[in-house]
Amino acid sequence: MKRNNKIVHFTVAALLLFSSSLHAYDTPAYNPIKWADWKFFGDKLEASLDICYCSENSPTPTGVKASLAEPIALIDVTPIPWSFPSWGFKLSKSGPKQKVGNARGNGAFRYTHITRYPLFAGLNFMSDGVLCFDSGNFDLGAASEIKPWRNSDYLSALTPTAMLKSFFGNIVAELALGAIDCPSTTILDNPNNSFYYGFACAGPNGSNSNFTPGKDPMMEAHRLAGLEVEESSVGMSTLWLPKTSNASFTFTPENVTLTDSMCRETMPYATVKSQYWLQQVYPVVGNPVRIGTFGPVWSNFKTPQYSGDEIVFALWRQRDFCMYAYKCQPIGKSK
Amino acid sequence: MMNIHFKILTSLALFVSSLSAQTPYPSFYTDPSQLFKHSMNVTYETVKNVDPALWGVVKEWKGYFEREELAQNTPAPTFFYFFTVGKDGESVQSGLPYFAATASKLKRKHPEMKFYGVLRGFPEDKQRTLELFNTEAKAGNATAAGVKIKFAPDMFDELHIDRAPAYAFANCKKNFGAQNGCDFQYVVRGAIGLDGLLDLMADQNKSYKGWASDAQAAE
Repeated sequence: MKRNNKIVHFTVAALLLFSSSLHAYDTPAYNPIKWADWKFFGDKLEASLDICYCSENSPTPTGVKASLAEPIALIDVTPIPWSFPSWGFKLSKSGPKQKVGNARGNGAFRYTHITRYPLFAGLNFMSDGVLCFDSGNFDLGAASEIKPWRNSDYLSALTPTAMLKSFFGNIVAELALGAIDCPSTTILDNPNNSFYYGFACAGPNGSNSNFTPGKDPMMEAHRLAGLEVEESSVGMSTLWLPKTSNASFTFTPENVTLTDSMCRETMPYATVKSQYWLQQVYPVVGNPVRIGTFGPVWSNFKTPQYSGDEIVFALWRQRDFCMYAYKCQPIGKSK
Repeated sequence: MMNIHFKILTSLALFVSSLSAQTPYPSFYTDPSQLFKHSMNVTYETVKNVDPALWGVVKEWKGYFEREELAQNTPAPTFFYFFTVGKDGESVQSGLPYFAATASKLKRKHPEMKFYGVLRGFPEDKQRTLELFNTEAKAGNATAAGVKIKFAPDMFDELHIDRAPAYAFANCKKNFGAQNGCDFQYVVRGAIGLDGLLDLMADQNKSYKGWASDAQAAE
């Protein structure tokens, strides 16, 4: 009898273990409750009793300064063309034929897709107008498969942002990124927006293509996901990510705010690195970290064999706003 | 036979452990910050060698990071006021204005102190919340004391606070969350006011007497 019990226990334990590994195949888009980090949301949600005013069309002109973080997009990084691990489908049979990439070794190349995913608005979560969540539709952005500059280093050099960033293709700029932005991002949780040519410890974005050195698949995936954010910030994508936080672009430790986002979203000058976090949600769920945070702090053991190097990140965005006075609007329709 | 296997395995294990003890990052997987420090030192050395002018700038940033890191990890005395916004939820002794007034007195003498008002969720009575926040913002005490409002149901649960008002004192790191970064010392339930909490703390521990008298000092 005891032996039978043991067998039952063993079988149940094995089933539990097996089923938990099966759950990893649940797609992030259909199962957000699995990864949505409520603790992170709660920690970032804060109001001060500093008074602020919004005059244009707001229901009440006076409010108080507040800040929140919400997931707004899912970003796939995958070696398989037309595969959307965030949604769990592949278009490889119907779409244009493209080469299968790889995440490791020389000539590593992966495809990236960004999906607008305003989770909290979709859940109809606390939609009483006090908190201003992103209220756009769920929508697929332009896939990297159809952007020629993402598929070729030569064509990438012709894009406006790559031309601008090419000024920083020197050892001094790269060292400055590693010696100033990397510790600022990792230790102080405060990415420096003036280093817009790269993502802290993930290195400079000299090229806008999806080719990477293939040495550190996770950090390179982080940088590629960051590149999607950059293209959406500067208008090179079908998705637009405006500046929603009181971020500074100055090269000084003091946080000087140039334009505030208290009453409306504004056009970003470049990627507002300090208003975003990336959270790995597939194949393993991690914590939200700043784009380009030092790899070993977050990326160890996050690419199990079965995943085939398909990775999904959720993009969290900070919004600083004038609570009660801010007139919430759909994404991309700012005044 | 068994014995030989055991010996081989043991010696192999010892060999592997001795190898890992000699590697430069013994706690690599448990504490990646060591690797980060090592990597930063290498970067700084490279900057020094490659571009002394850049090193001049980076050196200042390095000092800034070190000061900030120390400041982030040094716990600051933090007071929490758990409250509700209801029709009869507030008395004079327990209200947010009273908390803010005491807080601003304390902040003037102890700039390192931090103050938080904690709500369980978003109050249903939006109009009243708006009025309260606006009145408080105009009064200026809360701004002077840097009082921030948190919406943290899990903080209520963590401290087993089932009824507001309540007060808590903790030593908190800069980027604390609901479940980490704070070392709670006192939790008092009831409408006693911030000065009441400080009196109770002073009764328990004489080192808080100065704070208690600062809270009661006249304007």
